[in-house]
Amino acid sequence: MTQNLLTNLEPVDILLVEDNPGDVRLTIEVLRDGKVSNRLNVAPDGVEAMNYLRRRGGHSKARRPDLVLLDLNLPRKDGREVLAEIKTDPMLKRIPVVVLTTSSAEKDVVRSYDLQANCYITKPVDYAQFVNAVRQIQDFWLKLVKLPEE
Amino acid sequence: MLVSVTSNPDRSQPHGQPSARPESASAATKALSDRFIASAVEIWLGFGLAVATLLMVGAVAFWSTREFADTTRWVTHTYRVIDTLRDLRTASTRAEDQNWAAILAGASGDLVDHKQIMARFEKDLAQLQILVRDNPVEVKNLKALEPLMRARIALSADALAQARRNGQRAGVAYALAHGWVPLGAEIERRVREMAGIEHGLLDQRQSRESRTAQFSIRIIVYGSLAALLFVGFAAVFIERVLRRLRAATEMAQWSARQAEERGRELANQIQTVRRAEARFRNLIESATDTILTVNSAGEITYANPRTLNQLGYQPADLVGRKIEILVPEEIRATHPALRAKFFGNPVARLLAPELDIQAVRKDGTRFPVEVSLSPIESSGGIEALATIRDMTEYKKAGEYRAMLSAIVETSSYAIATLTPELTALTWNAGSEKVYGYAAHEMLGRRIDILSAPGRAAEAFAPSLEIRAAAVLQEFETQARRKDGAIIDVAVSIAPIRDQRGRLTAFSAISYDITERKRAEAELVARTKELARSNAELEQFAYVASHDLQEPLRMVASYLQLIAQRYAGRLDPDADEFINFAVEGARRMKQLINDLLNYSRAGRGPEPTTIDLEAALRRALDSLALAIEESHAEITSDPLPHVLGDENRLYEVFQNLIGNALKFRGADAPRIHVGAVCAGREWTISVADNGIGIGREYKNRIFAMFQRLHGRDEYPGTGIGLAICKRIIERFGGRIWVESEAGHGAVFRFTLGAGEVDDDAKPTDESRTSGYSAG
Repeated sequence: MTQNLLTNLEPVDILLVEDNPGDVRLTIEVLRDGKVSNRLNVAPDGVEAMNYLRRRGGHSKARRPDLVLLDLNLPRKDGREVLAEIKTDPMLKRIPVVVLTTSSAEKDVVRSYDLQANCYITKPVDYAQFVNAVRQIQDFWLKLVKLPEE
Repeated sequence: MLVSVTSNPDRSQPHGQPSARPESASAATKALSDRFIASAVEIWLGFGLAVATLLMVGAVAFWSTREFADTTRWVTHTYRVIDTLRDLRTASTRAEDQNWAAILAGASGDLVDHKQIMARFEKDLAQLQILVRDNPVEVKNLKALEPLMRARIALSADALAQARRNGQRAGVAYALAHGWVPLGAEIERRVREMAGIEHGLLDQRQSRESRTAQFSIRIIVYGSLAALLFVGFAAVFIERVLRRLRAATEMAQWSARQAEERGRELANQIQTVRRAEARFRNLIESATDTILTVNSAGEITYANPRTLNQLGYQPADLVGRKIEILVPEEIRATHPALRAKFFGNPVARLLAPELDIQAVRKDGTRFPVEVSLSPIESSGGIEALATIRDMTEYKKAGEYRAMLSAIVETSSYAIATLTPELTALTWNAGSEKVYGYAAHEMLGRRIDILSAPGRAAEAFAPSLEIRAAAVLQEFETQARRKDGAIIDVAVSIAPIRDQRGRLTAFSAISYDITERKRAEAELVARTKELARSNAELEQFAYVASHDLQEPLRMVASYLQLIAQRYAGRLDPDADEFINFAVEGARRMKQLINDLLNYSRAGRGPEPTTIDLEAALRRALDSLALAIEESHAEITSDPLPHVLGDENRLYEVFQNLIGNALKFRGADAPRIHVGAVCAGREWTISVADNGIGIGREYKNRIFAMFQRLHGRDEYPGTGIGLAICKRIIERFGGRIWVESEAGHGAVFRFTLGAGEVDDDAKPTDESRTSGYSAG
């Protein structure tokens, strides 16, 4: 049984994997203005992100996120490894992962899609554009797209 | 007998060896003939024995056959005696039986055939008497038997007569009364006795018969075997004789050949001597040198024909003259003394070549000569044989050689000649300079001593190919100088061959290239270092621009957030400050992006053949809006295929045409893209009618972030042309500008021609296609 998230009265769960507090704060600001009610959880590094997803290390109560926003350059375990682990784990691989990073290098783009990222977005320098980008991610992945429930 | 025939082992030893030494040939022949005689005796003996044996066998066979026939006759005789005895007995019995039969039949009638039976009896008796004549015992027995038989027959006849008269019974009684039965028994006994004797004789004769037969068979068989044996021996001897005969024939032939050969040899020797004589005469007559004989008195005794063209004298004219007429005047006086010195110690000698000897012709002219003297015995005592060689040409050649060796000696190149075994034959001053060894140290030594350590095998040793073929070989290697220093040398080795193509030496020319090598190595190292630092720099620029984006984004984003959220809530100064800060961040972002582009421009794909036309079209498409706004008129020549990358060249056109639009003058922009081919290179031009560039800025404009105008006047970071320069240079081309302020500008760049088709070839008419603003 599938379900459009829009019809769900429960707030959507978003996992933001990002080490830069500035970006975390910006994302929070943008999501706060958004129309979709959401719960944002932040993992500052790859290890923490995997613990959250697998409900380990103090995250036993963690909810399964509806969307993962993943930076590539992370301390301890970097975003590429996190992406690979999610996409090869039968329990996690259906969660949409949006790579949101500063890099516009061709090899990072190619590598991310090879690892089955759902989409790749370069963080715009301009605040207005950044707001626009996050809004669009939200609209597309949380409103428009139909995803399996579990 | 057999033994004496076969045993002669010493005789049957060596036959048929014609390789015996000639002096022993006749002795061997004699021995052979002796052996022939001995062998003939043996053969005759063999055959004689065989014939004798056969004769004997024949005789024995004849005798035994006769004996056999005789014995057989006697056996037959005995059989006949026995038969006749039996017949006699039968006849007598039949006669008796007839009478008895008549008695028993009633004694009536006459007796049938009685006379015949009796005749038969008489005949058998007479025959038996003849048959037993040879045997007195039997004769006696027969004589006793005869009356007994006759008596019994008579008795039977009497009994019949009685029976006729007095009846049957009376007949029988009469017979019995007169001894019928005992008489019969007596006859039987006598017959049996006679037969017994005859059977005894028969046995005796038969056994004798078989003995005789066996004896003759044996004699014939053994006799034949013996005869065969003797014939066999004879055959063996014949074979032996034949072999000896063959050997003797071969030896005779060999001797004949020897004799013939010796005769031929002798004839050859005579011929050889004659030919040698003729040859030596020819040799002297046709020698290229003048040959004279001179006696101790200094008189010429013989002159060869060469004198005519070498000295101008007929040979006959010279004979009898003094040798001094051929000697230059200045030493004519001292010459007899020199001559006497030779005859005082007459040994062959070459007159000292360094004396520069000259001979005088009949016409008085002189020429350089080489004179060799040797003593010869003649009828008139010891004479001198003088060979005079014209050295004119040799002297000339010598001068030429001297020049050549002067060149070699003064050359700063190391020039040496080597034997095929690589020992030094010559060693010039240049060699000494390069390798440190003086000529006297090197001559006769193998050049291995010049080999640098670890290079012994290869250094200087001409390869097998050069030994095999007449090829020049050039290579670079290392050598060790006398002082131990290792130097780099360039070597050129070539084989030197004689007229028959045999390798006689190598010429080796080499020079020191240590300095050049060092410079080359330094250049390579420096180039490598440069490439490495370039690569590092690019990596740095790339990484830096990425990492710079991060903090820049923070600054810009939060300033904007502040501006958005607190607009109007701060004082006007704060709004202005925030604007400046935002603008700075934006500009910095632009710079970083440009830097990133610039660093990308230096990398990327290797040049391939691409259609430049396509790159131009894309650039025009991307600039469509600007073209429209400025009402620009853009034309171009047909563009060729070139070596490059479409994306990069699209960027170049975008920048150049973008600049032409941006820096336009008062009039609407007119831009032309041209293409000219020169050899394998195309020159592409982008010409405009814009504001132009002052001559002094021609080079500055291609540097990074160089701007000639204020930011408010013309926006931009000033990276465009730097990127163009980088791209074009990466593809091996050049880019430059021809312009004067206020008179437009022409940017030109070169690119290698692509490897294609005819339609991309340059055409002289410039087919111009226009792209005009809408």
